[in-house]
Amino acid sequence: MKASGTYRNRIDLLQGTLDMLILQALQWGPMHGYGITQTIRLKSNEVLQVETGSLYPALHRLERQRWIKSKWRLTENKQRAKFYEITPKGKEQLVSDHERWQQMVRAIAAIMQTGKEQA
Amino acid sequence: MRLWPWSWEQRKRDLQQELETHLRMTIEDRVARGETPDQARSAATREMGNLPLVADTTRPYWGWEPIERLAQSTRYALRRLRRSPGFTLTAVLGLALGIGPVVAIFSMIWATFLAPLPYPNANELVVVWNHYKGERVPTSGEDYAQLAAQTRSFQSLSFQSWIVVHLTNSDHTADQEGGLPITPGFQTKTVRQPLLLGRDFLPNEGSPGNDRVVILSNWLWQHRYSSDPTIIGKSILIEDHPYTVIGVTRAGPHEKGGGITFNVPIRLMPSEHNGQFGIMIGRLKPGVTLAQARAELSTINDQIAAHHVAHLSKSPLVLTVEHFRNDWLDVKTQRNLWLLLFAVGLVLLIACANIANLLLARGTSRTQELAVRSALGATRSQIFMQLFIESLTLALFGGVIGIALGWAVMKLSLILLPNLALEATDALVEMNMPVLAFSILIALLAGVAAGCAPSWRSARIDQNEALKQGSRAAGRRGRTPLQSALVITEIALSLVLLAGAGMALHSFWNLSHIDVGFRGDHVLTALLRPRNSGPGSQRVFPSPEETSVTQHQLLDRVRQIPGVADAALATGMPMSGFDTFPFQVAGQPADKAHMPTADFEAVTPSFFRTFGIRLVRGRFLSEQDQLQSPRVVMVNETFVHRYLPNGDPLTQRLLIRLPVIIPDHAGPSKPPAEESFQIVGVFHDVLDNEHLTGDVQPEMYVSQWQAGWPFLWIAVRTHAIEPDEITTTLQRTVSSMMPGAAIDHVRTMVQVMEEQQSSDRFEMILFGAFAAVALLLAIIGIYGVMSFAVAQRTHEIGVRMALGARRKEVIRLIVGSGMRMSLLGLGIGLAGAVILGRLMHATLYGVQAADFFSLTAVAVLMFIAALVACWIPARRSATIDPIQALRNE
Repeated sequence: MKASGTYRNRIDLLQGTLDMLILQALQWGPMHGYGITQTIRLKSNEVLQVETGSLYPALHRLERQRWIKSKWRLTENKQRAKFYEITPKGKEQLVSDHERWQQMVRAIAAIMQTGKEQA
Repeated sequence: MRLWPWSWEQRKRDLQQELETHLRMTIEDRVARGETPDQARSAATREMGNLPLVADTTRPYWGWEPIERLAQSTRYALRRLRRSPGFTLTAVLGLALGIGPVVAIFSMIWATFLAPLPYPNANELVVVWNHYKGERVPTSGEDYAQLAAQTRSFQSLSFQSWIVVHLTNSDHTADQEGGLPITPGFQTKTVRQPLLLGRDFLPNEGSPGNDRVVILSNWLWQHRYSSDPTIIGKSILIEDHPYTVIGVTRAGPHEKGGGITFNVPIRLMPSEHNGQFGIMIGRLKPGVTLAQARAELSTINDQIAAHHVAHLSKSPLVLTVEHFRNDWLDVKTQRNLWLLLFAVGLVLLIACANIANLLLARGTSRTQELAVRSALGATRSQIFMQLFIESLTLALFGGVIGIALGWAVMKLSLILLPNLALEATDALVEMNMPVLAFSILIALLAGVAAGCAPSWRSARIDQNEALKQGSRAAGRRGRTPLQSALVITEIALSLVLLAGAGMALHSFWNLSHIDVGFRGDHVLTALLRPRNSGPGSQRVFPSPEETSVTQHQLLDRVRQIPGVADAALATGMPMSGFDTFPFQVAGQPADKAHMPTADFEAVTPSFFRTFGIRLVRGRFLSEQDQLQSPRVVMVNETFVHRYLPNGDPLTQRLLIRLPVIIPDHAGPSKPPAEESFQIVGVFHDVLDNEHLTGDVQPEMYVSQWQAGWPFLWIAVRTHAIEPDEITTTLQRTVSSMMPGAAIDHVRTMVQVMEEQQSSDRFEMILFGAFAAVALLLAIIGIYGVMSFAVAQRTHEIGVRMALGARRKEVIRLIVGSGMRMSLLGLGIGLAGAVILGRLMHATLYGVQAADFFSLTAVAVLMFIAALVACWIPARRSATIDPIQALRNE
C-alpha cells in the first residue's frame, strides 16, 4: 500500500481509540503533536494517519482530563514546541483502555470467526 | 490559573503557535525528503486543512466555551450600549428609579421585621406581652414577680420598667438624660451582652438600701463622661440621689433605643398600686420551645388573671410569649411599611414595562442587523442570549445607580420619620449585605422581566422577510400588541399607585380637619416633675390639702406670666394616651368580672377654659368643688351614649374606685376606696387617644381639687405670643415654687398633633413620591411608544398627506390610537385601585374603599397626562413633509 493511498483509504478510528493510541505513543516519552502523528504513522506501517483536526482536539481533551500534561520546550532543531507527557493517571487510563480494546478485539474476532464458519 | 479569563488570550495564542509549529515541522520533513519548499508548503497545508477551523474545534475541549461566549456577548453588549447613549441612559435611569425605592423600603423592612437580632442565640429570646383589646400592652411588675417565681421555662427573665428616671444637673434640676429601672441580669444573662467595664447588677441589688448603683450606656459614658476609664466606683446624681457607677455597656445597635442611656436596679414593689408597667424580656432554657413556654404560661396566666379580678377589678389581661423581634411598631405603621413595599414593587413593575417597551422598539429597529447575524449562522438561542445579556447588563447598571438612589431615599425617609428609627429599638436601618444582595437580585430579576419578551421576539424574526423588506418590515403596523399591552399595564399600575397616594392624601386631609374637641393653638403642655420622683427614692407625698395649696399657688403664679391667658393642671393631656378605670353606675346591678370601664382624668376647672372644650349639658367643674364638698364628675358625650342612653345623665351618680396613692411603698396597701361621684356636666368629645383615628372612648373627668393627684401635666394658654416663648419663664416659675422640680416633655399642642400625624404624613409623602415616579414613568412609556409608532408610520402618514389628509386628521388619528390604549389602562387601573382601597382601608381615616373623590381626581390626572404624552408625538407627525417622507423610501 502506497503512503499516498492511506490518505484516501484512511481508517476512521473509533472515539476513544485515538485517545488510547496517543497515550500509548506518549508511553515512549514526551512528544509534540507532530511527533505523535509521525510515531503513530510509522508504528502502524503508514496505515494510520492522524488528522490534525482530530489530533489537537484529542490532545486538549486528554489534557483537560489530566491524563497528559504539556510544556513548551525546544526541539533538537532548536524550535519551540509544545511537548505532551503522560501522567500517572493517564497511565492507569491506558491500561484500562488497552484491556477494553483487547476484549473488544476478541469479541469482534469471535463474531467474524462464526461468520466465516457459516459462510 | 487555567480558569481565569486573562489566560484565555494566552491559551489561544499558544494553540495557534502549536499548530504553526506542526505545519513548519511537516514542511521541513517534506523538504528533507527532497520536495521543493513551495511544493512542501502547499502539500503540508493541504494535508493539515483549515488551521483556524482546527483551532475552533479544539477550543471547546478546554471547557470554557460558555464563559467565552458570555464574555463575548457582554463585550458586544457593552459596545452596543455605548454606541446608543440616549437609549442606555433612559433605560438605566428608568430602572434606577424603579429599583431605588424598593431598596429604600426593603432596608426598613429588613431592619424592622427580618434581620436577626444582634444577640447570641437570639432565637431563645422572648417577650412576654399582655393583651388588651387585641393590642399588645405592657406587663406589670406584679405579673413579672408572679411569673418569675413560678416559671421553669426561662433561664433568665428580666423586667424593665417604663418609668424613666433622670440624671440630676449640678444646679439640682433634672437633666434630659433618662434611664430605666431594670431587674439584675438583663445585660449578662438575658441579652448576653458582656459589659465593657465593671459588672452587671447583683441579684440582691434592687432591695431597699442596696439599689443606688447604675450601669451607663456606652453612649452616655462617651458623651457625658468623656470615656473616663476610671468611672467605675464613682458617684453620679440620679433624681437628686448619689448612685455608684458599677458598669458600662459595649457600643451596639441595641443602644440607640428611645434615648435611654442608663439602667438602675428596679425595686419591685409588692403592691398593685405602684404603676410599675414595663416590658418583660426572657431567655428560654435551651430546648424549650415557644409552644412549651406558652403552655406553661397559660397555667400561670389563669392564676394571675384570677388575682387581677379579685384585687383590681380590671378586665382580665392575657399574658403571651412571643419571639423577641423588632416589631415594636404599632400595627398601623407595620401595615404601612408592607403597603409601601407593595407600592414600590408596583413602581418597579412599571419601570420594567418601560424598559421592555424601549427594548422592543430597539429590537424592531435592529431587525436587519439581527437578520444578517442569523443569516451568517447565529442560532436563535445565540441571538436571544445576546439580547438577553444586553438587558441584564442594563439591569446591573440600573441596579448600581438604583442602590445608590435607594440609600439616599432611605436616609431621607429616616429624617422624615425619625420615630421609625427610634421606636424599632434594635433595628438598624442601613445598607448591609442582605439588603445589598436582595437589591442586586431584584435588579437582575428586573432585567430578566424587562428583557425576556423583547429578546424572545427579536430572536424569532423571519430573516428572509426582514432582509427583503428592509427596516420598515417589522414596523409597518406602527406598534405591536405586546407594546400596547405593556403600555396598558403601565397606565393601570400607575393609576393604582396614584389612587393609593390620593387616598392617603384624602385621609390626611380628613385627619387634619378632624374635630379634636379642643383648641390646640397657643397651648404649651409640659410634664411637672417634682423632686425625688424616681422609683428608688423615698417618696414623701404631701397630704391632699398641701398639694392643693401648692398647686393653686403655682397656677396663680403662672397666670401672672406676661402673655399667659390661662393655665391648668391635669393627669393627662388631650391626645397623649389615657388611663382606664372601672366604674359602676349607682343603682345599677354590679358584675365584678365585667365592670364597665372609662378613661379617667383629674383636671383643674381651668382645664376646660385652657383647651376651649365645649359644654354640652349641665355645668363645668368649678373652683367651688373643693375637697370637703360633694364629689363631682363630668363625662363626655360618648360616655352618655354608651352607658346612660336613657334619662338625664345629670341625675346619675358614678361609683369609681380611685387608686390610693400610698405614701410609703414598703407597707402593705389597702384596697382602693370606692367613692360616689355626682355627674354635674357633659362635655363635647375630646380626642384622647394617640392616633387621632380611633373612636373616642367614654371619659370621666373629676376635679383635681378633690383628687389631689401629685404628678401632673401643666397646660398654659397664651394670647398674643407664641406658646413656646414662655418655656424658660415657666421653668423658672416652677423651680421657684417647688424647689428641685422641673418641667419635661415641653411641647406646644400643635407639635403634639403634628407628632401624632407623623406616621400618616410619612405614609402620604412616600406614597405621593412613589406615585409621582410611577406617573412620570407611565408618561415616558406612553410618549416613547407613541413617538416610536409615529416614526415607524412616517411613510404611511406621508402617503395619507399626499393623498389629501389634513394635519388635524393626522393628529386625531395618532392621538386616537394612543388614547384608546390609555383608556383601557385607566379602566383596568380603576378596578385595581378599588382593590388597593380595600387593602388600605384599615390605615385610612374617613375614606371609603372606593373613594370617589380621589379616584376621580387621579383618573382625570392620568387622562390629562396620557393626552399630553400622545399629543406631542402626534403634533410632530403632523409636521411630516409628505415629499420628504416618500423620498426616504
